[in-house]
Amino acid sequence: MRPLFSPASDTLFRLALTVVATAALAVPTAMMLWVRTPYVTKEGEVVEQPIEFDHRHHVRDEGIDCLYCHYEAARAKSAGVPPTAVCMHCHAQVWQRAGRLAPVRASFFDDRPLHWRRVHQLPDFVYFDHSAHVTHGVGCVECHGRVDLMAAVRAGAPLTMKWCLDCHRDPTPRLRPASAVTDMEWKAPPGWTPDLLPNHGHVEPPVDCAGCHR
Amino acid sequence: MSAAAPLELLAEEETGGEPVLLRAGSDAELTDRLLAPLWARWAWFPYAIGATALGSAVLFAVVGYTMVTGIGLWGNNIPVAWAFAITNFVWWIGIGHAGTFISAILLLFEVHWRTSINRFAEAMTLFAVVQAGLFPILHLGRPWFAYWLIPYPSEMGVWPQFRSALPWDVVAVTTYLTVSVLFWYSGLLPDLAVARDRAPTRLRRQAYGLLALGWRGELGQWRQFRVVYAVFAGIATPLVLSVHTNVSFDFAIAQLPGWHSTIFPPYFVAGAIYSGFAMVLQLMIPARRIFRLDDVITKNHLDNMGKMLLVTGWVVTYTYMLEPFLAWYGHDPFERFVMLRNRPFGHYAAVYWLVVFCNCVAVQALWVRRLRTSPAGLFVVACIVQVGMWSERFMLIVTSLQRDFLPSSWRNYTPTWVDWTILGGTISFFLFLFLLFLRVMPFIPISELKEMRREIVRRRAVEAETVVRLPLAGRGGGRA
Amino acid sequence: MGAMADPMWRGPNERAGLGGARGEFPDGADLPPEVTRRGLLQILGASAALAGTAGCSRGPPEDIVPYVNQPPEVRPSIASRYATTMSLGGYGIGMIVESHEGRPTKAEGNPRHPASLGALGTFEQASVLSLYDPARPKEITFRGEPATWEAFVSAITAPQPPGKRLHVLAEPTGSPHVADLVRRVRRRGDVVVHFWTPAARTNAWAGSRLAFGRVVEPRWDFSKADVVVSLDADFLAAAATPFAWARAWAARRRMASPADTMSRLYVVEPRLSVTGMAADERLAVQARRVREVAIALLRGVLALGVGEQPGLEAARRASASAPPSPHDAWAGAVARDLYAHRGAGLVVAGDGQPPEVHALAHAINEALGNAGSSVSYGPSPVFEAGEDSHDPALLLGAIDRDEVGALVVLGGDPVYTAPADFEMERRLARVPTTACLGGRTTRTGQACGWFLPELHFLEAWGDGVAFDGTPSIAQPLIRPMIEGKSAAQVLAALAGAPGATTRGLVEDYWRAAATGAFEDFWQTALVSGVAGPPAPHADGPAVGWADVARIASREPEVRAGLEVVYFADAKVHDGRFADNGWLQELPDPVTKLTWDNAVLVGPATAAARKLESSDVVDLIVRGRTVRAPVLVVPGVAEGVAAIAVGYGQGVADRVSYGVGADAYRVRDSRGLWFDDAELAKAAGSWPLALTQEHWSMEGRPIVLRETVAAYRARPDFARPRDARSPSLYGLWPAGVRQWGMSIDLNACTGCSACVVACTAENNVPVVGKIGVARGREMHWLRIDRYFSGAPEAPAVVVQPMLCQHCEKAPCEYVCPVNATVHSSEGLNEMVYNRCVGTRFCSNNCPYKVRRFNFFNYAADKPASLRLAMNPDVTVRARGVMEKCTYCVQRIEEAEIRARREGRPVADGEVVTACQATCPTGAIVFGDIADRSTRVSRSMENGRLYQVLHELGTQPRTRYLARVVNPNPELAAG
Repeated sequence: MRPLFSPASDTLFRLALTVVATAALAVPTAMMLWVRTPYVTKEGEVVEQPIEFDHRHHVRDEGIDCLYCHYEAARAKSAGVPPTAVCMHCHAQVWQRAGRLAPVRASFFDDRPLHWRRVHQLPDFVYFDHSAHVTHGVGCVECHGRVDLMAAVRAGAPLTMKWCLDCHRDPTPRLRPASAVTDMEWKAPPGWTPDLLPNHGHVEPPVDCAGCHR
Repeated sequence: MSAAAPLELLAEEETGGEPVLLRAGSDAELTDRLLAPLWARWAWFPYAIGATALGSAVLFAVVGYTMVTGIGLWGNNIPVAWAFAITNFVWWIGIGHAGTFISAILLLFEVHWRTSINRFAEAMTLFAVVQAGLFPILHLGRPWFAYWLIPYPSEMGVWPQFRSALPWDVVAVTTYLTVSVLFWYSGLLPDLAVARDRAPTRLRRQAYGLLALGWRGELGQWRQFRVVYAVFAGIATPLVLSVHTNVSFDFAIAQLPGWHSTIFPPYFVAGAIYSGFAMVLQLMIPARRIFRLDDVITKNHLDNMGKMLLVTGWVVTYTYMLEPFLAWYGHDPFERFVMLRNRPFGHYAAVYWLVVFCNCVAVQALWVRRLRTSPAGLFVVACIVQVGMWSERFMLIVTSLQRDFLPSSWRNYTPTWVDWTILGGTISFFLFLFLLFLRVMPFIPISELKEMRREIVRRRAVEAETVVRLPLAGRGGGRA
Repeated sequence: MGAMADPMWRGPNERAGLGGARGEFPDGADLPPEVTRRGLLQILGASAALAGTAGCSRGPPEDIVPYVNQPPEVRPSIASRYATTMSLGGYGIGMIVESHEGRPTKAEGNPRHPASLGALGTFEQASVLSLYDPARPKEITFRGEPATWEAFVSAITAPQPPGKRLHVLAEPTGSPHVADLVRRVRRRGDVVVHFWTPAARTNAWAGSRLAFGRVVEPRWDFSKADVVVSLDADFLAAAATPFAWARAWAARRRMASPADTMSRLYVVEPRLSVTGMAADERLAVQARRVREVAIALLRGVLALGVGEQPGLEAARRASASAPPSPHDAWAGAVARDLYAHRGAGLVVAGDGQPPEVHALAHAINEALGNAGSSVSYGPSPVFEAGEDSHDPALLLGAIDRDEVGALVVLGGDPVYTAPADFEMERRLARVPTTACLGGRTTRTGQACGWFLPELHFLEAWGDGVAFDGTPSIAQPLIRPMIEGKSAAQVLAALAGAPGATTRGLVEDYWRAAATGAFEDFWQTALVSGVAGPPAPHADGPAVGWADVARIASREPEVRAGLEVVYFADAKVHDGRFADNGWLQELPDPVTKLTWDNAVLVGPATAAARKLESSDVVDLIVRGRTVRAPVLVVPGVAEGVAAIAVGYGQGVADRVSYGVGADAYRVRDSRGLWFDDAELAKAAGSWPLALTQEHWSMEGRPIVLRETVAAYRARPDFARPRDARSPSLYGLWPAGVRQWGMSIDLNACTGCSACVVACTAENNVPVVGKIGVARGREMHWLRIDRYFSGAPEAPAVVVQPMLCQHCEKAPCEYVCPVNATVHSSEGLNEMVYNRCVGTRFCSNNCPYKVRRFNFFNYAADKPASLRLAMNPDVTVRARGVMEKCTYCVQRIEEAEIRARREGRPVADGEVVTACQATCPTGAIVFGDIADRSTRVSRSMENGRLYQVLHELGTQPRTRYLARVVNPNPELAAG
């Protein structure tokens, strides 16, 4: 009678075994890589905004300080997206007819708030406080990246828990004089060390869970 | 009559008195007999498998319901945050232990009577562990995060808490499952091969051929087989002790009166083997009847199994006596309350006395040899023990939680229909898997049996002619 | 996970989506929902989470919606606080309300306000939730059809036919501007205004009229009293009482050192009350026999020969001639004690007692010279207190004589709450035009033609007056969420100003009333929450001894047989708070009963009538019957069946629907507070949801209790139970703040205000009756209550039980995923988002203070109720464990603030929610590493001990043992 299996079947079988074995290793590894991909963390992902707001223009060309619009950053948990009125501070005078600013004017005159899209999205069980960071010399750029070079704002960091912890566990190298937090291109001047910061840069950020989770 | 000679001859072989093998027949005959059920049609099978399949479907439906809605569907509360799920987990994993015990430890001790039942036992182990494996995940509040118990480089920068017993449970159960599967499967190889060679249709031959992984019975393969089998036996043996020891830590590391106890590891292991043997009997006795296996599963097996029940039963009984004593002797008011008041006379006193009856009293009947060798009698006792062992875990978990330190938080627990359905569901899922195994696998280890027979016969080289005559002795019956 | 999100603080656009479909947690809250969309999302979430090993997958896109013009006072993510006033029964209580982006979320006491002194009761705190009740009526209706305010005004102000007049039935009010409006309305001539509420203080007013010939209210100063005798007065309850009383009482119970003096509290009462639980000597008698005891007290006091006021001799003779009572011996001993502390004693009578008892109390106080020292008198803050306008008979008569052309009910629910013999529903039907102003859909509202939704006090301007006459302004914290009116606006409409705004009315009044520049007055009043000084004491009213003699000599009725005692509930009061889930789920301070009321009977009475808890009985009073469950409570006097009013409200689609039994159905105006009654056992059983089922301490040293004598003998009797086991390495790192809490069981009355505070602050979910019955209540802070001694006269102890933040926490090492860990500042942190829900921590917690989300309670909330949530606390998802965090959100906020300002956190800067609201200041929280802090100093007390000390868990929450001050004479007798 003819044989049950063709001569090739051994090879096939061994091949199958190898595939299973590798998959057993590869799949978990792939998952762990996957969650670190920008696709999941949304790092650098461009979010469509109701208005083409160009930070390059406002920060670089006009040299407007971050805190002019995000004026709560030094005092409150949320840095605050500026009320329409703040836009109108300038745009009542300049570009007051610009078509792309129509939504702003509409919002202002019909008292309908603008709906911006959130870019830096933390889970809601994470309690981040801007003032605690800004007042201790953590530059905007550390988390938000070079916003001054962004046509449309993208998340400047993965914002994963480990990423936060890395800095919380050793913040000193990332500190700068509180006066320079909004400076996008700040470089430590010669001879400057974090030692010159108040309390020698020992800001002792919380590393206990409740520091961020309450 | 001629068949008498080999009978008693084989009988002398064993110290137990009863023979371990009747109507030995030739290798070929034995093989045919033991493979016969595989090719036969079983009239009752469709109903049995249908019923258990239905039960399993219900199980998965209810499990899905729980996953979506929350374990609030169960009767659990604060303080009784663990109840049926963990009871079932401990019970099933415990049952699993007998298989490994029989196939590994008894193998190492070269106990002959293990041979014809070890595959039952191993299969049972496997399927019991599968049931047990459901619960650690199902009982979580957020099962979809169960993988957080596994240590891996998370991008949250957080690791499991290794001081807790639970991450180790994951390790213990998975290891146990893996080793059991490999042990069981490697034992199957020669039989799968023989099934391949004798299967009626080409399709089946190919199926078994695939499963046999190209077993040809060459000397080299046999040598490797021996090594592998012995090694697995060696690995499995400590697992019998370690797995349930770790399970017992789920309770022993707590400071809860009734849990906080150093005798738990041996106590749990003994209990595990106790319920395990009971389960083996519960499965073996009907199978023996249905497939007329009384020549390979003889009174000798029943007798020995009965003795094992008696022994483990006494170990368990001893711990039952020890616990209250230690509570009394240890002078801890909370321990005393649980052991001396709450368990025997509290809200769940009925469970306590049921446990005492099932696990300590009923089993004493096995002192009687006639009962030990009567299938019906053994079966009844085994069932009683099984109930007792489940209730024991329930008592252990619930009566300790329901009355702990501050009376203000004392609360009772009542299971809901979901609790009961999940328990029943796992039982039928277990039977479902076991029936499938019976249907497609050689459930009596053919090669090992033949081997044992030859061993016996070789030692009787003097009666060479008897050996020659042996084939005639067989009635070649047993075709179902 | 997204499910745990609390999106509340993000922008005002959340205001949309007001009004949810379901009521807040009807019993269904614990019933498994069908596989809903939410459920499916969860599966999706699950699979997504499994796909990504992070446990966080791409969250759904979110909007940020900034203001167009940001109001200067609103700062996103920063809470603002405003002082305002809530009035109950005409008595104002000042509070400070926290608001997030215009959502009032948390009410706390106003330290500047004399009635609050920083404390707040259960009602005041929970009323924030009522603001967001999705079942609130939202529009004006006429016979069920939507109608307009103008239509109502024209209908109601139409001139009455001859012989008929417009009657207004309002609730007693202390509000100055409402009082003024009433006067203006009366000037119309054809309007009659009545005041009525089921739990009015008419007895107290009549009592003072009886004793002094005019209506004054006693102003008790318990801090000056060495001996306090309460004649059925529950002055410690945190329900509709000025918390100044509890504060002052506690001042004499603190026992900071053995040298301190301690007051002695005698309580005579039919049922066990919060005050009764705190008593040193308690006499449980039928309510009708309290009077006997009062007479016996007077006799005892006068017999000891005090005072020589005219007519006092007559009173002495009269009281001596009064028939003997079984309680004479007890009363005699108390009288001797009172006499021994002449001028430093205090006899107080409860509103449930008849005027005579109040008069007797006044007489005893005067005879002992307590008047002027521990008790003074002042005018009642309630408008026209004790005058005819408070007599419902006038209105009923008018209706029967068909003189009522129209009736406007301003607040309250008379159809439901009025005594059965008033037959309000029938009488209402006789009135041609009826209107009702109500904050809830009430039976009165359904019976009346017109219905006007009433504004919540956080939606409208108003004012109030405290028990001592201190006025304060009530300012709204949110724009009205319904098209509603305030009582003042309705009165204004009757007075011819239908267009008046609530602010206008209040401002106009105070513009006229305020002295000095109005703007300054207005600003200070709003900022401080106090609008003026207390009313001056009334110059010593003199007791008319002739009347007292008449009372004392009158034959006290010695009726035998069962007696029903009605009382305003500690949770729903007279029923007005019955739709509030927080309060319904709050365990009764005494019985620990939730989502029900019950006929409370003592063990002896129960045994005699073969009754057990959960039995069903028919309570029969004057031929009327109500069916109710039985709850056997030690300490309820023999022959007493006490039942709380305010339950069994029959309006569907409301939280209160089907909860409890309606005691009003049998309450009769001739026996408003107690009455002859009969109990008939009915078939079946009525499951009761108790949060504490076992009432004995089983002889375990959980609440330590010692007599003051024994304490003075062994000042550190509790110390052995505080000793810390030696440790090789220190307990905590040096130079780091270490949080700890001490709870003084001497000051704690078990009033349960802290439980509501915790619920409000920490978004604690409500699980409904079935949930509680299954043992799944979610309170982070519970009040344990234990009985000991004879069931008829039990000793009661209470103990707030919350996470003990153990130094060596059993929960921490058993959690497989590190979801509960120790912080460097000693907090036992619970990380919800890491929790997988093995519940091992709860099993291993000796105090069983951990709570588990068996279902997705938070997500099941109606949208509008989510607006009451505190955005600073994570909303817990299904399947996670939760527990007391020492209000870590407040700790972190204070620390960040301090760091920003570059200074250390000051002592007392972090105040936990429970501590903030505690009327007696029993809870102290702070840094225990710093010896100078209040908490450290409180822990130097010799009464300090750790619960379950023998386990070596070394709790951060430690207790000061209870010291009681029994009368040796009674102990001997």
